[in-house]
Amino acid sequence: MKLNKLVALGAACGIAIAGVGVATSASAEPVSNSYSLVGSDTLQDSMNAIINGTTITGATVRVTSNNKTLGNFDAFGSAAIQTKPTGAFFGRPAGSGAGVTALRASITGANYSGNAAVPARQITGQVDIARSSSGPGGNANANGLLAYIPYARDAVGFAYKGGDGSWANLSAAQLKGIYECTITQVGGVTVKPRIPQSGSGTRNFFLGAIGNPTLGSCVTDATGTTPENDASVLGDNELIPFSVANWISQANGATGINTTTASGVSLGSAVSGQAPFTGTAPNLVPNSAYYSDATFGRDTYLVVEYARITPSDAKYDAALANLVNPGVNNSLTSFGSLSSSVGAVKKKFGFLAPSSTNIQRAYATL
Amino acid sequence: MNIKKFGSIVAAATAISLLAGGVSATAANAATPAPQFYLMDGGDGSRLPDGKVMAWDDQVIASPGPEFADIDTPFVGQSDATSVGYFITTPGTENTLASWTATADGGFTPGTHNILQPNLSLSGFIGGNWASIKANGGTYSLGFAWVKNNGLTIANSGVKFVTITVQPGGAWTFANQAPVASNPPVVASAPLNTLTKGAAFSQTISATGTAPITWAVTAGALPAGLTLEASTGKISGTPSAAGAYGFTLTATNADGSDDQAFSGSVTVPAGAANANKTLQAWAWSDPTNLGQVTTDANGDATVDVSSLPSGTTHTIALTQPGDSTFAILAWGTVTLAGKAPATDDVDLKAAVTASDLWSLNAEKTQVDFGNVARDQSATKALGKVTVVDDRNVLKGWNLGASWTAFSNGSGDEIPTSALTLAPKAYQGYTLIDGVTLGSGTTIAQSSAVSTLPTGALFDADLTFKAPKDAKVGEYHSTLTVTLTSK
Repeated sequence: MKLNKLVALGAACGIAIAGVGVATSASAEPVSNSYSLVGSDTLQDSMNAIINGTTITGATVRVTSNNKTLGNFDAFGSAAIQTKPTGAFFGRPAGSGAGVTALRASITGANYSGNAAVPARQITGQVDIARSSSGPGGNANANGLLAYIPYARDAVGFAYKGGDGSWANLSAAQLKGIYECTITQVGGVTVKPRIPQSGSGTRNFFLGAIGNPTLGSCVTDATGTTPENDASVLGDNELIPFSVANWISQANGATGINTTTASGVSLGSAVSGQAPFTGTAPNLVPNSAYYSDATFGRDTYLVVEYARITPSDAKYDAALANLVNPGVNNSLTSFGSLSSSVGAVKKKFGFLAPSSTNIQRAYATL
Repeated sequence: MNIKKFGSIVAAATAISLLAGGVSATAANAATPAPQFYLMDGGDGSRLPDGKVMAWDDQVIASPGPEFADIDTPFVGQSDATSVGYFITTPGTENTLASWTATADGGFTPGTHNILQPNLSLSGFIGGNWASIKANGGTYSLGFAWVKNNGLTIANSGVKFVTITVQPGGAWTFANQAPVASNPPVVASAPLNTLTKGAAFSQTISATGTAPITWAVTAGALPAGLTLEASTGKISGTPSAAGAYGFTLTATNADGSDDQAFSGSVTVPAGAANANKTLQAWAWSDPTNLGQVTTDANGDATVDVSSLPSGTTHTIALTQPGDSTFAILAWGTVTLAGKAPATDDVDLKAAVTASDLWSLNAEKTQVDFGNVARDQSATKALGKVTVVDDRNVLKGWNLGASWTAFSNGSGDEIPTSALTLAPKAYQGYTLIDGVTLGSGTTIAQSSAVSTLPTGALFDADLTFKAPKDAKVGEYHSTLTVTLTSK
């Protein structure tokens, strides 16, 4: 009895061969016949697993809604997406902020343009849930029209390439100085700060955590399109904010693509005395002490229109309300412990239970 | 002479015979059919209580056992299965995939053909006519199946299902699944009342346990003239003869049985030769001094036998006190009612199982050495190669590699010798006993040991050396990893 497996070998004598042979195909994005989700890159992989079905916990886990499948759309991919049957193609919301903006446009009927390649157009009813890796922040409002519902607990650190041993632990003050370009060397090595694109929830949270620096001129991609949670974008002696959960999920093989094995990259700690995770890949485990840090730990959220989950409102949608109700078993925001639970999948993707299940309202007007 | 159960015995000065009471074996408990799986709460894993009315979108998972601890036990499948199907279907059509009314897809625990905690929530069925079930209701089978042939055929491990009843609108209930407590009969240890020849007798023997309980004489015989009412345990009639008796009553219900031995004698006329004497009483079979007794005017003596074990037959003898010759003046036997010492065999069984997996997987599909200058080398990792040998019959294996010459598409070739291979264990993996790394074109070999379903993980450093005189260009080769059973 023989089993064969072929591996293609390529070598160039003096001529470069482009491409890497182990790239993973992009996630399929079928049109949803119920609810659609857009937004944060940080949350997209765990939600792809939960929504499209996974056996990563040993049991099959898939969240549906009233016998219908959900559509979870990545933050990056084709320029335009279509979320509902016969719905408009519109610019792919690339990150938490863009996701919330798209949700607001879906509610108000305002034109939405996800990116320059796609003309702005109405997307009424095309987005039901926005993934957000940060809370409402300054948009919080007790009578807000959007509801931020805790999804899971993440933490933020930074990925770096090169440097020296001291780069593994950098304080918030050091990081602020680095991003203000007042600190140009760490451990005797010149440091170049990188930053994800402006719609990134990880970017916004990270900058807040290190003291809201005014980005200096050394941050050359401050207005660029650098994707978040992609360690492969780093050049030598560069660092960039990174979701710890995303690092863990990549390193553990939970996601389709693993950038943590890019040459020379590591995940640094911004919490004194605490490593972001324990163990070695592919068995990294979140360090709860790091995640619980008030500055660099963060709850992540799913955002929906508040009226649609309010039973007394004419717009109330019981199925959507159940789908995002942390108290409902197998909802997107639940966090059970059984192998067949949504929470077990989130843990595989490096998340812990959120610090609270309380809804925060935001945006007095949309 | 009166012989009473338990505490005392009256032995006649004259020889009498007593019948030994029989003891029957206890029948095995009757089996209560168990469901094919148990429906558990999808949130906390507890067993759903019988009679609970479920909402259409309530979350339920299936477990092979009724307790919370059972939910982490998978349903074990066989290797011919390729996927998992969940179904709601009309009873009787469970094994016909095309007939399933509503469907959903499940999956195996990675690396196995086992199914863990399948989620059978009705709102999770996204295929088929679930809407009809929800709208119209009815009685259905809810379950899951190991399938193969691209989901067209039931695999060897078959289907598992339970019966549910859906109400129009989607509320539903399920067949009772709570384990029924076993409650076999236990016969009360009450003695039989005194029997007197010619005197009417009636006594009902009682037992605890789930009704109905039926009664039967399973050893010995009732005293002549008495009968047993099978449905009540009532013994009645008029003893028609003097003499000893011994019999065993067995009470039986759906959960099991219990028996009780009864023995004694009716009044026997005794001679007066030994009247009003003090005598020494002995238990004979296992010499036991039962103390001195005094016969009455009729020659009857009451002997306390409470120190003797019940459930068996004893011989009681009377001798003159101090008689070193132990000359027996009178003797008799008596069976003390009660539970006989019983033994039973417990079969110990442990079935060793295996996943019967035999697989090879090389993670990378391409290795790119990049630019390699003439007469220079480049080394790249082959990447993770996983061998799983958890076959039912282990034979050992060899893992080898071979590769073709490198060609550039223009007819130029770099010979196979330009590539060398250095096997190693995959990072973080420790070789198990019996598995060793090879050399040359052998990556590893194994004796007849199991890798378990997690597999043995290998890697290799591939070193490509560009020949000094090679023509520049892009060259390609194909490396084949081969797993061969010994």
